[in-house]
Amino acid sequence: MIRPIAVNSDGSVVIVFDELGHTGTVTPASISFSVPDGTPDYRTLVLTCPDGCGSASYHPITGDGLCRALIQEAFVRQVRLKGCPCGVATIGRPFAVVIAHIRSHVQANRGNWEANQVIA
Amino acid sequence: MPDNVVAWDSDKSNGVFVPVARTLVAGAFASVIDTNVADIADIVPGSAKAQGATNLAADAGSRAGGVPLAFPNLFVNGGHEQWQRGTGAFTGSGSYAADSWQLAITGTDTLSVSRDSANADIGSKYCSACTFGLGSGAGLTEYRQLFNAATDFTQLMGQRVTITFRVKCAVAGAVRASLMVDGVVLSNSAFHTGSGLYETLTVTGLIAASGVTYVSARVLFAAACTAYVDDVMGVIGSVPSVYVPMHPADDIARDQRYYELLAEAQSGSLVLGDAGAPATAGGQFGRVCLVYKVKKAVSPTVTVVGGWSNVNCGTPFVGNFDTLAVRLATSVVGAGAFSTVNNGSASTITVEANP
Repeated sequence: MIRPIAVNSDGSVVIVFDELGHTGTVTPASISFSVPDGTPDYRTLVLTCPDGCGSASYHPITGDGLCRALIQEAFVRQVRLKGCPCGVATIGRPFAVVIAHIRSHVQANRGNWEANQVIA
Repeated sequence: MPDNVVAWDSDKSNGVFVPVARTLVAGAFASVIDTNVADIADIVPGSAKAQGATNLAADAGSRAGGVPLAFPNLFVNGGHEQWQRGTGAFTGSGSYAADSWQLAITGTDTLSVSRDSANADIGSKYCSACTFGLGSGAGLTEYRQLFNAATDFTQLMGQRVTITFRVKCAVAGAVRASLMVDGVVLSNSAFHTGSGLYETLTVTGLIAASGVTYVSARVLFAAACTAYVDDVMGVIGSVPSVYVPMHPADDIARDQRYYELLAEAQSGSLVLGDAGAPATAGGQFGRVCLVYKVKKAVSPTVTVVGGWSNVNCGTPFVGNFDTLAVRLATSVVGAGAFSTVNNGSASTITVEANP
């Protein structure tokens, strides 16, 4: 797994890639929502290994799989920078609004919201 | 319930099970019933584990003539036999080593975990070899297994649990077992004596009936050492049980609820291609659905590990996924046949639903 170990205030994500031992920082421009059928999916964030090995992890918005709070925070910062693919939360909305928006997505997908204290 | 037992009267707060009524049965089980406590310990698998035998003897005595039983193990990969992520060394905090066993490193401590066979406990094939270096962690660096919502741990709520770790270490005061709930220590065992032999470290505690977020069963490291961790057993009740291995098929299936490789790395067994229907133009997609071997505990993280061999298409990417399956896709470059194969040295797909 390309696993976040920190999310920076600029939206970049510090990662470690467990399988290959790669480490580094994924820039906000390199982070994307998955595009399964030509349309970005707000439920999945793609972290690509900054090592250039061609590997990518697809993280569910619930953050399940590991690092729940960090993944949820990465979603929040991505949506604040780029807007939510669902179309409701637009670019640059206040953190409180974006947090509430992502939290509603998490809960709608039967996840547990854990990112409050990390972002605050 | 064994055939010879009509009913058990159980008090889960202290783990004592008393047979209310029973009938004798023929064969080996009858001989168990009729054998004294010391002999009972001797015939249980793993009987060379002296501490376990002692516990069983005490257990049997406390049951006022009842029959000691091997309880189902609460742990995933308690025997440290399954290593789907490889043999290590694993060194990063938060990473997993043996399936479902996670490193959590505090401060400037170092911890390196590898699969080891030379020092495995009796009856075990592998153990976790943990090489620890003390920094500023102050005894808080741990090798642990978590129980939370992803592991349906609500079944532990309001229950007393007892956990035994088999640990071998040659340094006194370096390793102990611990049970933690929501960041609060529930129980710590005594330290390993440093005998250089396997010892059983036992912790027990009552999990609150509600409001619990997670339970952590762990080995704590307080001094530089190499410790071997093996055969972890967790049971409901206050009486320890000896470790009883699972059948390998059941063992790996339990592990795959939380981590699964869809194919061996570099196997060439994952192929996404045109299947006789070449693309008519670039920009088209090839797709395939891959069904997991085991339903995942929660919505997983899916990782495409790079190094695929691509012909007229890109490295595969993940479309949709859930707890049962993933849709893999590739974008075609131009008209004609296309294929992508996991031929590279590490190329595969992993599915992780860790607790």
